[in-house]
Amino acid sequence: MDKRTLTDILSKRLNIDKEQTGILLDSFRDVLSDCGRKLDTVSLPGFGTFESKKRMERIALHPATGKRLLIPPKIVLSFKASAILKQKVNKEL
Amino acid sequence: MNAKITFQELSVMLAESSGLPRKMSEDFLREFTVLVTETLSAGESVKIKGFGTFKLVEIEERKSVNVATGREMTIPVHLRVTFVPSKELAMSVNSPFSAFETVEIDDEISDSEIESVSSEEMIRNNEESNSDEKESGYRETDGYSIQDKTPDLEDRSEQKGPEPDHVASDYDSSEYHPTFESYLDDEDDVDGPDDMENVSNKDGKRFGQGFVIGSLFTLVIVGIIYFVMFGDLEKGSIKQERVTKREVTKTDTISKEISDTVLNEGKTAEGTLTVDTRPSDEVIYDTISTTRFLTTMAKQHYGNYHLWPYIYEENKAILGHPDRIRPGTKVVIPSLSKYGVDAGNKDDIEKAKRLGAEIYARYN
Repeated sequence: MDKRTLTDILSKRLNIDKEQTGILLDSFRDVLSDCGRKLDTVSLPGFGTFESKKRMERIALHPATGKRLLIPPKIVLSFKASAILKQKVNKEL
Repeated sequence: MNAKITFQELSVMLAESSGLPRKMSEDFLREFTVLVTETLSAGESVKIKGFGTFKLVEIEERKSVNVATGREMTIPVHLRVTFVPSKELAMSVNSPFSAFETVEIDDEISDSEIESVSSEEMIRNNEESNSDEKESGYRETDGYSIQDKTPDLEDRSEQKGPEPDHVASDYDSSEYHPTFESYLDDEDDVDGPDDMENVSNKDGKRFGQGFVIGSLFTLVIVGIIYFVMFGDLEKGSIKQERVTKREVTKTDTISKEISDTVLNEGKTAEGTLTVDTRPSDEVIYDTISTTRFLTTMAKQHYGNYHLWPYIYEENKAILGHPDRIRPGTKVVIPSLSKYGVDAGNKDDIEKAKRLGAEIYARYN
């Protein structure tokens, strides 16, 4: 499913126009990235949590040249599915 | 930092950010999760442009041991929901650290030396990240003022040619710079030693705030003394070993400062973007090589690779097709203010993209 189908279905269900759904979706992403930057955890009940983690700098080998590289620290956003979502996804199995 | 944001808080934030009523944002979030759950349950993935992809990954059957009973069991084949943030989202989340690039380490340094430097820094890092945001010292870490504390890192990362700062020019610039030319893709780094960080974070909380302030100031003073002494004593005869070692240390220090600001104040993320802006009267040169292109320079000097057309425009007299610049060509890096461009402004980025397309159009 792509973004357009998603906004179409969402706007039908919410009874609002697609433009507003688009704004909400984009704002949701912005809010998520703001929270992620602060290392905050955003939880959506029944769905899962968006968590960001700080990765420390580390030393790695360049696979081609064999040089050692100092890889800088970074913040990575990750998603953890909730138990309910896991269950639903694995229903047929 | 490290706060847990609930559904209610999130819906309030979303309503504020979108300018739409709270009720609507709440409904939206609910329907969004329901729809994504439905789609995933149907076995389809959800790909949202600019946001990321929710998809299912099949996990093979494997054996495991029940920790409580010690009995062996098999975990059956199952599906796991994964979310891969889009490049935009990943970059935006990582923006506090976007100023860093991967650095090549010289072969002459032994592992133990690197270890001793980084573990030392890590401990200090944790002590300080627990201090209060009221502490005035952290103000210094915004934008320009990084220059005051660690001038030679600023120079190293921003200026490739003649260096006006006396300290930086003490070293042979040819052996000093190339380490910054290497690049690794962001996506490579997925697994990192973050457990260690969590553990030492707990330890760090035991330190009092007074101790933290004290250690910060000592660090700054020691840094300045170290810096002045070596600048004078070993003029011109500094060994490569030492240079690279200090390079590692400085990267640590800056990273620590920036991360502290971010963790404590949260909203200074934009501040790191301005690190790369300089007073307009300085002239900065850079040299094209097989691994350094206009985009690489734009990313480094302006913080956004889309801004490369301005470097091109500044040097168009000596450049031909933007993809066929001879390695070794020396280019002037203009100040963005000369073109009235702000690296943090989305419209300006769009303008730069159009300018880039226009430049390519000239050669077609």
